[in-house]
Amino acid sequence: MQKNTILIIEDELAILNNISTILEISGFTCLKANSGVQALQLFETLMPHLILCDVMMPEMDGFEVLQKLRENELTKNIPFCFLSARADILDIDYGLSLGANGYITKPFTAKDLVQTVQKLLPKNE
Amino acid sequence: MFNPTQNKSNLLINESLDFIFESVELGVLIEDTDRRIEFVNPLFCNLFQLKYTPNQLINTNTLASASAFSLKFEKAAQFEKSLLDYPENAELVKSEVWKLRNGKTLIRDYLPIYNGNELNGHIWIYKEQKLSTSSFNKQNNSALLENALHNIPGEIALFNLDHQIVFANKAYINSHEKRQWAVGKTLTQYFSYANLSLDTAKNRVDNISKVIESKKAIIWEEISISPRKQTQYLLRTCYPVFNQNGELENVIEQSIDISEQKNLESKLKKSTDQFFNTLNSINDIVIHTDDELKLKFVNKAWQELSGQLAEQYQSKPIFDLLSIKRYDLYAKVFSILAGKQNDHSGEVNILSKDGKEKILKYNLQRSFNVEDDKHGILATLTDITNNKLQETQLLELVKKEKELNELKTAFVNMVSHELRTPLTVISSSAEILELMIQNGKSYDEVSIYTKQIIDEVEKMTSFMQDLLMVSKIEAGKIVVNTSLVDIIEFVRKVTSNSFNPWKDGRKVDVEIRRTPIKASIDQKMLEHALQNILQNAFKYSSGKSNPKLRVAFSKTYFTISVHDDGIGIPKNEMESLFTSFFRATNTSNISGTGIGLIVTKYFTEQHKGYVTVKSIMNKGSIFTLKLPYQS
Repeated sequence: MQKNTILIIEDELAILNNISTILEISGFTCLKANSGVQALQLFETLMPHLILCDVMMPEMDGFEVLQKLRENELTKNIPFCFLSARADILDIDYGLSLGANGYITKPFTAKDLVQTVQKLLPKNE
Repeated sequence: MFNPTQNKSNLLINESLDFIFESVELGVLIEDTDRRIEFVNPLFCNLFQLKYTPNQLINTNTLASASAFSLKFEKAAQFEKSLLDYPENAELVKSEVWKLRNGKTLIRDYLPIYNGNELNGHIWIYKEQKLSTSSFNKQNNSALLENALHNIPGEIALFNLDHQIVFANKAYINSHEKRQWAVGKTLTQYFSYANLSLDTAKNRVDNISKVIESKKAIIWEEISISPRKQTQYLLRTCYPVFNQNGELENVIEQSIDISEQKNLESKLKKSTDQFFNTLNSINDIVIHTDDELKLKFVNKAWQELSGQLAEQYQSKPIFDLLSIKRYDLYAKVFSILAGKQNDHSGEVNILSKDGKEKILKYNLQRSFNVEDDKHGILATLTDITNNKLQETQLLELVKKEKELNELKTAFVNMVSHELRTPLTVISSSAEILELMIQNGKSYDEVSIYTKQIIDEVEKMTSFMQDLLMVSKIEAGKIVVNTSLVDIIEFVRKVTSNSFNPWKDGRKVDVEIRRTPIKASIDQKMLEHALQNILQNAFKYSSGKSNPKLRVAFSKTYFTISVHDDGIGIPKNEMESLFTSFFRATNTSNISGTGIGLIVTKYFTEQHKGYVTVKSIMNKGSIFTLKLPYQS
């Protein structure tokens, strides 16, 4: 069974849809959440293989989402990648220090996005 | 020339002369001008301790016996010389004193013998000085005393009970003649005679009278101008003199020149005055207490600060003066007073005369009071209110600078984010478009992506315009262009344009109160102002109920207010709300530029209106534009 289900968390609808479209064209299965709160409900039931998450979101930001994910025994090992307009090296370092596996800065190219996703997805057994 | 025979017969004519000279207690030698001894009595031989009898000496020459005569004198050579040299200078001889080696003293006198105008001979008279006689002793002592009194630098005068001068020393009356004259006169008579101040005389006479009356001493100070025009201070004492029977006999008046002491005193006073003047002219408050912490001295600076007179607190506890309730300070004061601690400093707040609280830096020290040999407290207080103020201002400046820096960073981040988000949509849409066109997708399938690109470009353009607007506003380069507008129509247009619905599907609930009235406004400006607060209302109340817009018309103005149930604004950040690029701390996850409200405020003010805000954290906010009908 190929592990290629990706959960995308992004409050900006246009970006959420575009990422999903690009990844689906590349053959991945995408799940969409437009807030961190919504995403938390999906973790356990859907158990995605990779999470792409925006940082700046109302109510719950990306950092908090990552923290919640890592606190949960079931989800703590899911690869996690930030997708953020905060492109400062300090922001990137901070995100990675929290335990993220990758950090994609906006704007990004489709190629970068797909390559990062492929790299972070767990290999088939 | 001298005829000895004749002379001898002359002398011997009167036999009784011999007898007289032989019986008096005087040694007598008579010689003629050739120094031939014509007569000598036994006492002479006796006084000179000669082996010769008078008869053996008669008709011999004095010069021949000179050495024999001189033998028994202490100053034998000198005496012999005096015998040889005389009588040329004989007339100068008067009560000459010659000491004998046996301790006795001889007094020599001389008398010339004249026959008509012609010198005929010499008579030498010697007598023994008898120190044991009491009368002579008394005389001698009183002369000694008188001499001593004259040489005393202070004035001394003795008066009898009739105010007559019995004695005045040289210091009292300098001139010998005047002194002689004054004896037996009153002071008034003397002062008048010597042309001196009669007021001074009267004062002294009055005091002498008082002494005579009271039989008690009086001391007073007299100021006079010396001949050298210098002020002289005399301490005068007048006191009674009683005789052996205890009866008042005389009055002594004496004085000591105390000018020097007075000058020193005045110098000391001047320097003390100067010290206090200095203390009073400094800005620091200086307080000095006694050993019971009662006020001894406080300088003018205290009055300047507190507006209270120091006099009313004299000898009262200093805590009354300072009226501060600082028990920790009281404890320190007592500890210093007891010598357990050397000094203590700190800050204390005191109410100044204009009711303002002043911050004073104080220092307490133990001080030694020379007057009573006890310790008190010396406190100095410096007003540091201004320093503190400056310090606060400086800190505020530093804080502002820091805030400005943070704002700059936040602004750069904001711009970056506001550009990166639409750019992400544009770039990803373009890439999807490319793929779809390659795969031969229809226009309907790809149009959503072209629209996304156009929308995002529009957003970016609008953001750029906002940025330019802020810089225009800050430069004051906006021109108001008004026209008469139906406000209800205007509000409906603004709400339907972009807010019905908002991207999450919510709408604006509009409510109109009272009769609608037209107003003269710049439509574009006010639309921009209203859009901004409406956008905020949606943005910050995600997931909550519809924002409400209320328009109310009153007589002279109308209000447009927007209510939301959103996250609210932290209370301490309300002030900064209308600062360029400021964003409240609870908005970090909601994208925004920090431009909207400054634009709203500026545009409203251009209409001579103003913006008010009410907000409760996590409950919601109300932004109200209050505008006149004619701006």
